[in-house]
Amino acid sequence: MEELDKLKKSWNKDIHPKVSAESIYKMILKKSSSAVKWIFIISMIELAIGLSSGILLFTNTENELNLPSWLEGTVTIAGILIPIIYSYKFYKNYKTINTTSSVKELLNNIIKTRKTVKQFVLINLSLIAIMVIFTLYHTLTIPMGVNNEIAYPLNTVKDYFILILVILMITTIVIGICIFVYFLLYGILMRKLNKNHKELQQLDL
Amino acid sequence: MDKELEHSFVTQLEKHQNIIHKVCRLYTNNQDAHNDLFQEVTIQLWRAFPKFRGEAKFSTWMYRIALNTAITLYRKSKRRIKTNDIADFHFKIKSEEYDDTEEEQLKLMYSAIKQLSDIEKALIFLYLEEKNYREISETMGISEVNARVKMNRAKGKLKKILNP
Repeated sequence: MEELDKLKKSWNKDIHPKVSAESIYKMILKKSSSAVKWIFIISMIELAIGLSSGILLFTNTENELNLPSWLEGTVTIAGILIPIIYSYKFYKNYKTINTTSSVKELLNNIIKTRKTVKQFVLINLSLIAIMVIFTLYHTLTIPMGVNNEIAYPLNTVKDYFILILVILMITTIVIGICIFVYFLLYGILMRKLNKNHKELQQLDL
Repeated sequence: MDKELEHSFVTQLEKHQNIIHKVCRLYTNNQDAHNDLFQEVTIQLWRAFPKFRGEAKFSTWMYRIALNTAITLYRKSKRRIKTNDIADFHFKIKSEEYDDTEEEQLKLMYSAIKQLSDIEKALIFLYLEEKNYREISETMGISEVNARVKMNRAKGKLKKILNP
């Protein structure tokens, strides 16, 4: 291509004003503002929230939520094990992110790291959904308080229907807010990475 | 030891900085963004420098990190150092070196390259740097055949932009 070859000839002549050694010294003291740094920070926050919610579940399930024993056991174990497993997986993946890799390898590693955290968030959201459903059900149907009253006595099919509807609505709102925040945070951050990753993937198909 | 490392890094970077400028020129549209990306590449190079074993040339090693930063890591930031050294960048090609028509053609070429995708820009950059397909495929992480295919497509796209 003629035009490109012309540019090639002049390519190295195009000398920019030099950045001094002093400025380079100053630059290396600065903090990176890279996308990976932000992905790392947000992932750590997600893992920290997951870990602390696991601990909270572990200490609170028995006394306050009155869940069925099988669910209580599962939630407790899941609440502790899942964040630990995923923190380890995340750390291991994060370690493989290296700027000296090829473009494709680097993109693959970043996306793999993100997938780990994404899975973790989805599992956490599912656990939250289960907890919200059961907590609401128990709060509304189990006799509580001084007078041992049932907040929502279930006498007719309509009562059941309304209860399910209310529970579903509240669960959807809680999960919806979580998903909205999640996509807001990552949508912008991952857009460029996903686009470039897709382009390289398609090329190798 | 750290001071020595720092000194060695700064000396080599100062010498080869034109590589970063050329990457910045293709991936940014204004002076501020150019300075931002220059700084981010410098930070990434400095981070990776302790692992640089000198097996490859410093300049070869720079290509990979500079392109990786431009394609993958770079985000626009307002946190930029203010220095007179990099505040006076001009995107104009030095006029004394080219006649008007040539200068105009080069400007058109640059603006056409900027319309390509990040990956295509990287291929064109490596082509302009006279890298062979083996080096291009290693830097990009794709096969030599695919690098060739993609390069031809990028050139075709450039041609279309320049001659609509």
